[in-house]
Amino acid sequence: MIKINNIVVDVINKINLQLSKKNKIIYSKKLCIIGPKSKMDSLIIINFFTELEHSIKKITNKNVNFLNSDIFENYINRNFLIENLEKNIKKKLKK
Amino acid sequence: MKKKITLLSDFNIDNLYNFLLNEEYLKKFKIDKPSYGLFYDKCFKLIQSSQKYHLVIIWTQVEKVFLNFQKLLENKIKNINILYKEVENFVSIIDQISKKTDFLILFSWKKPSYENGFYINDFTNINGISKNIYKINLLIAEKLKENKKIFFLNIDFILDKSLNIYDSKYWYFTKIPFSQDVFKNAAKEISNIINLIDGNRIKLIITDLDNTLWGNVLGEVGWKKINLGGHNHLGEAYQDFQKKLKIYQKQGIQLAISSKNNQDLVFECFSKNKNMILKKKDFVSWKINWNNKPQNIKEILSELNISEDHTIFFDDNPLERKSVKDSLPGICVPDFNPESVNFTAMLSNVGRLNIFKDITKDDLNRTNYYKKNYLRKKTKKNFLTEQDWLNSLNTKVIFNKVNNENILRTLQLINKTNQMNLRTKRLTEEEINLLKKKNSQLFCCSVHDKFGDMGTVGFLNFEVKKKIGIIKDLVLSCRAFGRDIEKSLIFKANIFFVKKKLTGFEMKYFKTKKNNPCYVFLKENFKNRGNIFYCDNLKKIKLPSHLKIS
Repeated sequence: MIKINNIVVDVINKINLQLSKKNKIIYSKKLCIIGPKSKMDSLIIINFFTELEHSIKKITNKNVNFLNSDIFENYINRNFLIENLEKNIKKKLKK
Repeated sequence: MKKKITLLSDFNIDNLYNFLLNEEYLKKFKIDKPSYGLFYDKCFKLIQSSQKYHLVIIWTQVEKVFLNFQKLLENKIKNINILYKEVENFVSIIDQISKKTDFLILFSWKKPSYENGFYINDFTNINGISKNIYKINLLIAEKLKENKKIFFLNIDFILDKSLNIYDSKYWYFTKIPFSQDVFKNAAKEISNIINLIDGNRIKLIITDLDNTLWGNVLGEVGWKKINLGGHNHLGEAYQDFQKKLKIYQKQGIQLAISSKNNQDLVFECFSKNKNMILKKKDFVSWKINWNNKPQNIKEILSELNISEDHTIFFDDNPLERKSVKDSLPGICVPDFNPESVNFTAMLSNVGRLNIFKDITKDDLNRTNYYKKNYLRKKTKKNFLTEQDWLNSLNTKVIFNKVNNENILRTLQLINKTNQMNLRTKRLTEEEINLLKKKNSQLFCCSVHDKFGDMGTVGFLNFEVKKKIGIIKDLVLSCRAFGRDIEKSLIFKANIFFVKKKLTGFEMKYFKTKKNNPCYVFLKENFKNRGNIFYCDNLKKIKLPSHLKIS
């Protein structure tokens, strides 16, 4: 059984290697990735999803798409949280 | 004020910037946030600015920085010589940028993995991509080789360590030509390079023996049955590890042993096992006993006067590694797993083991110097007083003007010495030559005594300003400590000051984390106003009676 939050935590740890001490991300269900409350800049968001796609591919051998999906358009004005992301991953892996 | 680093690129280099900010060693520098805009515009802006940098890093894409290379990729180039004209212009810009910085790292280029060019004829066809990339790299290397400030870094050092070099989806999203993994490795490599430039190369390798230099437990199987060389994958890997250590030893890094073993059995093994690459004479010190390893290592470091920051320790036992790391946090303790059989790859990942300058005569003789030093210290016990021992050594300090013959070793001393170093100002060959032209007096000194030659161990840089002598640099290798050699350096400068009929001299001390021994020496021997130490009576400067100078 794949624990989705473990994958996300692992990706956050990798992304934190690129972030300064004050900007480091701490895992939480309510952490906002995209949207008005997000503290990540656009490059870090792309790095995050690229890393996530690679990690999921490595663990499940499945190609999942976030960068090409409509998340970015749908969540410009709304907040896309870690809990949304985890649900989204679950949904994508079921397909 | 923090020294500055800046990045110049023709693509979004923020990933490298972010990783660099997280490199521990680089926290003492101010790294400029990369600016956007055209690459050549940024170059000219830097050339025209009054800013002075410690390091400029230039990383570009070959097809973007040379427009004719883009034409080559599109099969539109008519005369390949136009491309090389462009390369020459690029070199001249790099040369100008180097005047604004202490050092410059320029990344070389590699054929993009998705371009096949003329496939099997790509090296022979005049318009081949592979051929021209190699040619550009070699031409630039040739043109820049005289500029000692510039390091033309082979990008393979970074790409070879990266699992995923190019990610097309990432490229189309960001127009960044490399994966994040590449930037992570590039940041590590840059941190290593700056560490090496700052003189932080590893000076001492301490190694365990059983399942580290050879397979099996010597005490159990005997010297004939240890696993080393022969037709065995693990035995061969251990032998390769020894070969690599021997190379480092020849480059001036010292080898020492810390092992829980029987010393007689170990040396019998070193002399009788024909597959042994390393010999007893290759080691400068050994602690082969049943004492705890951190204690043994502390004794080795004190014996050699080498700090833990310049030491690496190899041991197959994770518990031993942990206990050493806990007691001596400055020591580099890499994971060492013999089963993975990749010792040499592991060594190549320890950036601070690398060499980037020519090997000097002193490097080749360094093990002997340390061994003789050990003998010197050992004889100390036979004397009632320290002065008796110093008198017995018949020490002669030989001064030479810094010249072409000793410049390499002098640069090594200036750029590696931390403890007895007045201002820890790292200098390049170019800066030394400039100082010479400005009438600075530059000397290096070697030391000879009844045990033999100690090699070149000191550097002195002084000048006269408004009737006052200024000693700007006073550098002494740690292996010459405790012999008053530093006083002979002052005495040498003083001869000059007396001849010039000066009223006194002064020295400005710049505190660093490591140069407290220099402060103690100055405090004990000179008056001071803050960090300026001075002498207002030149007659007071005497050469210690146990020293002779020439």
